[in-house]
Amino acid sequence: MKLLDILYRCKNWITGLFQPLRLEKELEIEMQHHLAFSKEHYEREGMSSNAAKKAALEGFGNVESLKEDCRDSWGTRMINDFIRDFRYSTRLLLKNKIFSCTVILTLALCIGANATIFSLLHRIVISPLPFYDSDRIVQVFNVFQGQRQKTSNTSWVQYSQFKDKADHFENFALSQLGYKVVNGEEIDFCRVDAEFFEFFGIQPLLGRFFTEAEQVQGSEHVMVLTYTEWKNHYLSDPNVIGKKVEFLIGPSHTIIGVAPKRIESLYHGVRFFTSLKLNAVALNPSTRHLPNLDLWARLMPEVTREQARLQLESLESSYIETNNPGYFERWKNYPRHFDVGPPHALQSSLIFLQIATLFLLLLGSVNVLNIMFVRSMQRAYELSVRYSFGARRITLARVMLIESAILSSLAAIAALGITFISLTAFNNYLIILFPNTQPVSLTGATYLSIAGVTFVLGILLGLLPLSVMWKSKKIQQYSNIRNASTDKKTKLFTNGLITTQIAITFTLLVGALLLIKSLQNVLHVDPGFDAEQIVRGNINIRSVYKDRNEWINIRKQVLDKMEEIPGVHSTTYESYSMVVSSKSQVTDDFGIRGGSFEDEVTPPIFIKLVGRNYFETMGIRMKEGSGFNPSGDAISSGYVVDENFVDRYLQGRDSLQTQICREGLQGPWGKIVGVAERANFFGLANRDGTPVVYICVENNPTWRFSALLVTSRPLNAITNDMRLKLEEINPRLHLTDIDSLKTSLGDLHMDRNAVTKVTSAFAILALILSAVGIFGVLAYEVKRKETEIGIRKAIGADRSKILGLILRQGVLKTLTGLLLGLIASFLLTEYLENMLFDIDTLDIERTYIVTGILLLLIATLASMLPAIKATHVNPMVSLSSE
Amino acid sequence: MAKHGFPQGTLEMMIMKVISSGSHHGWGIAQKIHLLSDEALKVEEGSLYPTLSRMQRQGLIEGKMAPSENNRQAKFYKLTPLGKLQLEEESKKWESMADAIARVMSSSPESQF
Repeated sequence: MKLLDILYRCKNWITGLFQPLRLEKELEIEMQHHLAFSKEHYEREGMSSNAAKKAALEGFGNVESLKEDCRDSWGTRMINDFIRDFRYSTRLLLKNKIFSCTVILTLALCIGANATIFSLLHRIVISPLPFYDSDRIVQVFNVFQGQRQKTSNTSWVQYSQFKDKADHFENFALSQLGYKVVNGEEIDFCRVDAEFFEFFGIQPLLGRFFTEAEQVQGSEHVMVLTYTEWKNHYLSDPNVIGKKVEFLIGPSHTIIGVAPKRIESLYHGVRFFTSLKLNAVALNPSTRHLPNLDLWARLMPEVTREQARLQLESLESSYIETNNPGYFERWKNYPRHFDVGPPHALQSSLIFLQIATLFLLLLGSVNVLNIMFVRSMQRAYELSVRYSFGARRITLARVMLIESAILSSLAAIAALGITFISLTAFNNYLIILFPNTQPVSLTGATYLSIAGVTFVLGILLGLLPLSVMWKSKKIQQYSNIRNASTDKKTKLFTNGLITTQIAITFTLLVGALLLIKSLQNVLHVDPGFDAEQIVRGNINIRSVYKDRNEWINIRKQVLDKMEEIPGVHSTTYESYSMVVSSKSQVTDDFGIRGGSFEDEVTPPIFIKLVGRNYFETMGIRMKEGSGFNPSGDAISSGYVVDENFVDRYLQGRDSLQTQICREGLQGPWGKIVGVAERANFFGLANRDGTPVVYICVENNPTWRFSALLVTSRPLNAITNDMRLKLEEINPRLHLTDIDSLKTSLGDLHMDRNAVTKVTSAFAILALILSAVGIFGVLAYEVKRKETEIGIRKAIGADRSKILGLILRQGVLKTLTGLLLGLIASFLLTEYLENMLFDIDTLDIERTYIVTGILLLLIATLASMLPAIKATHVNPMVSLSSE
Repeated sequence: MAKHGFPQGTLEMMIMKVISSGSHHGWGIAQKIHLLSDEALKVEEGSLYPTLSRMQRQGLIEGKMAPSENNRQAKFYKLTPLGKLQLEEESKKWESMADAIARVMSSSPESQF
């Protein structure tokens, strides 16, 4: 009985909920039917038609009140009222398209920008690692001062000392990225030590992880699959343990386990793990400062990162004092430090961006609030009618809240789209800037934050205008008389806000324009060689041919084969390029000697080991001399230096009469046989960069080299041909990092590009907000001054005067903002100096003028709409409403 | 006493009784009650329709639009299974209650002591 009862009630309640119209219609028909029967009944009793109708109606009583009683008994009154108000609000919003679109767009942009930055912040800073106590997990870096604080990872020798002596740490784990070739495909993997998985608190999904015995050189080769690899390539096969995997090079490995997905957040794209095997080289104390391992550490509870860092530094300096390794002398100018922290450089910029976007959100919300005030004043009459018919305050709040809820919900949906698009765009950069970071996607936290902000905004935007109207008794006693004292404060506040917005917009626009101009300037720099048409691919000969006597011949064969590819005009090669500097290469200073001088010069100097026809093929012009004379070995072929080298070390000397030596002043000496034009290998903006010395290795073996092909064919068309040609020589040889030089040069500008894009996005956002702000404030102003405008019109002011009056206010606010913005821009340009390239004072002045005019134009346009509205004020209407 | 003038629950019970023999529209129900009570009871429209609405929501009756005897669209009500159970229960209660009241009312003054 009970259950049946509940079911029926539910069914009817839901029917009432979804079919209020049907119920209404049925009620109406029922009443009419009853009246008709009643009338017939009276007619049968002998009454006239009219008298019968009257009697029937009298018997019925108040039809409307009867209907209300029936509606009450449906139990859906609240919902029906809500639906009615919802429809009404939707109709109103559709009617005021400009208002609705402006509010939705502004909120969507503000919420979207915040959600994007929040997603990044959440993924990268707040919870970067999904492991237990992840705030105690840090990565240890070596920091090289003097080299722009460059950081690098850690060595085994450092690790073993820290493990023994650093008591601020609970435990350590090591890892090292690598790649292997399987079935012609390069795949990333990670070598890890036996403690690695335990360190992160990870249990195997299948099988087991590595043991210490497997770390010893010569032990069995085993591997652990990542979850993704197991799922995608082994189709989640439960019997995968014990299978053998063959690689192009190196021994086959036996699968011993599968790791859960969580560990993949450390290294994105890694497909399997192998055991980190220690060879004699790694254990040699002299490799202490040749870092190549990622060292993970878990801090002891209560130990701060700074305390941990200081302990590592004191251990390092005590090592140097006791052991005083000879080679360390050379590094005395580059004191070592340690950095201990989450492995991300983006943290501070993201926090800064989050604050900036929150500020934008505030600006946007206040702008929207302003517009909502105008809106509520337009609805004041309707609300006061509702009030006088007995609507309570809560009913009015519902009416206002429904409207703001519709607006903010639509804005939230649009914001979600904006967030998705901007995250997708950002991920392209993220993977290039930080290859090991997983792409950032929309997470639960982001959805929650969007929902939260939307909810708060919905309530604020609905209730604040109502409460202002209620306080100023606009609803209780409907009239157009404004409360002057509260208006003055509000006016001051909103005016200040608009001025600030214009100033911010101006500054951001100037910044964005200068950065865009810089980027263009950089990309227009002549790289010094023909980057357009050159395709590069790396080949490792040693991995297949162990005998170095074969290397020259193989290199020649490869280049000959490449030249056979249709569309390839010529080929050359360079060997693994290296920067000879204190940080990566243990080397002496360069020796230079001429007729009467002898000098030692300090690196960094970039050494390029190249083929004999390198300059012709690359299109690098020779400014002096004839180039290599490749008859004998590298030294007798002579050296070619670039203009940077001459500018820096050979000022006023005859370059071709100079000899250089790579081993200080001890020799052997080689002649400079040519001065090449500057080629910007390290990015186009690096014009005054590292000097280059070219060494001809035509008759020297190189264990790996980059083949450089001049071709008119596009990169993807030629890649396969290159692979096939290589296979003809030896199927085990393979190409890696195939790229066009143009793309790789472009990649060098990713950070500049990213900063430009972010600033531009912010500038556009600020521009929209300012336009909305000016529009909102002036519209509010016009609405408030309706009476004044009416009086002016009544006493003879014409349209152009009214238009001018309102426009003047908009322009005045803009000009004040521009003045403030100009000051801020001066400061910004100082700050941006190292990002700017080939920008002179004229450029900056021009940018100021262009931005100023643009802003003024947009501000005028935004003021135009309310100004035109003001000219349409009917004096009769505005005065009669007093 | 409910506001329609009948003791609490009796209008609902009478409606259910009337439509237990077949579906009726609102006017028909009111007329039938009037006739069955030998014109002693008159159900006001102001109480009939809200009561019908409420009973419908409670799931005791259900209404369907259909053409009536004068070819006009009307809403016809019939008992639901729940309504049938409710009617049985209410009838029993009513009978025992009426009996009890009748016994009290028909008692002689002496037997009150």
